[in-house]
Amino acid sequence: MSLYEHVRVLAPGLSLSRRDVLVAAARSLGVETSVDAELRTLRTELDAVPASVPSRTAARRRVAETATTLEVKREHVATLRGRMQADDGGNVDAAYRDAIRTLSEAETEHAAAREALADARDQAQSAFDARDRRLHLEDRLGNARRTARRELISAIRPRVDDAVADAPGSEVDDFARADAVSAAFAVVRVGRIQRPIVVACGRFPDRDTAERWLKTPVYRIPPRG
Amino acid sequence: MLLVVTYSQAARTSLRNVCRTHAASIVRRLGRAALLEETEHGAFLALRLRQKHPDAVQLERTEPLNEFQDVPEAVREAASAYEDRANDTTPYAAFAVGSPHPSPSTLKNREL
Repeated sequence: MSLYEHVRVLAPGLSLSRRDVLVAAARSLGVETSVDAELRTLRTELDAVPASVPSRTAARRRVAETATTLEVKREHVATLRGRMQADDGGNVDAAYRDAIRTLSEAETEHAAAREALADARDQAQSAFDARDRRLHLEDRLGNARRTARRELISAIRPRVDDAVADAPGSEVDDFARADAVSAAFAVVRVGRIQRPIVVACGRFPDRDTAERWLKTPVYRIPPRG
Repeated sequence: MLLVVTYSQAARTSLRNVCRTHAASIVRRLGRAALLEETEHGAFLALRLRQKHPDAVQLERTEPLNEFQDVPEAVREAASAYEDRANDTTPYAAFAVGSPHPSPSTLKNREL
């Protein structure tokens, strides 16, 4: 969020995100940090869209299904074998040979399904490797952003505190303890804003005074009553 | 146990929330991964996470390692001999040379 977006209307009841607005003010002045180059590099690296991870769902289901089929065929063969031993072959013989053949087919299918799943898992693993690297980059980006914010805030805070002390209607000299309008005045004065902001709080007698103090173009709305 | 590994910030956040809400089904949380109880509820939580983040959740089923069943004696002996070595700074590759213990490349080429 730009500094302008934080402070475009200054009126009583203003709600200000204090740390964010300090960061925005520092950015508006082009304050540099020790991690700017790192941030640029990380953002460029993270621009690339990660490869999607191939779904293993179908392959897993196929392995489970072929395993069930295989088990059924095995039991069938065992049953026929038992029957053959009981009544000395004969009619059962042809059925047994048939069962052996389908069992062998089921074994082949199950083996193929397992191999396909192993391949799919290998592919997914390389996609996960890429995402693993990406997650590390995202974490580094998060750390670098926090460092940048800290540095921006400490770079600008003394100037903002001074401005708070000078702000019309302010009774403190500390940005953190200032009322929201005084705090906003201070960051506007210190920061750089190109577009006019609206001042509707009656702390400046006229527009010229407001613009001189805030160092930025202003629309002044006189307080009611 | 069920191992859940996450590969994105969003999936990691979901995992953290699941761990916080269902502590009884979580055996251990390890940063962006977690071990879940091997119950239907553990599986339910794991599957929900994968459903929510299909590209960023890996599920595995783990089992305890019994080295007396699963690991050849030579490997067990190499591990204990190396950890009892006289010189702390000797790398295993050097330790294995001229000893009865397998070299690192031999170990790497043998499936468990």
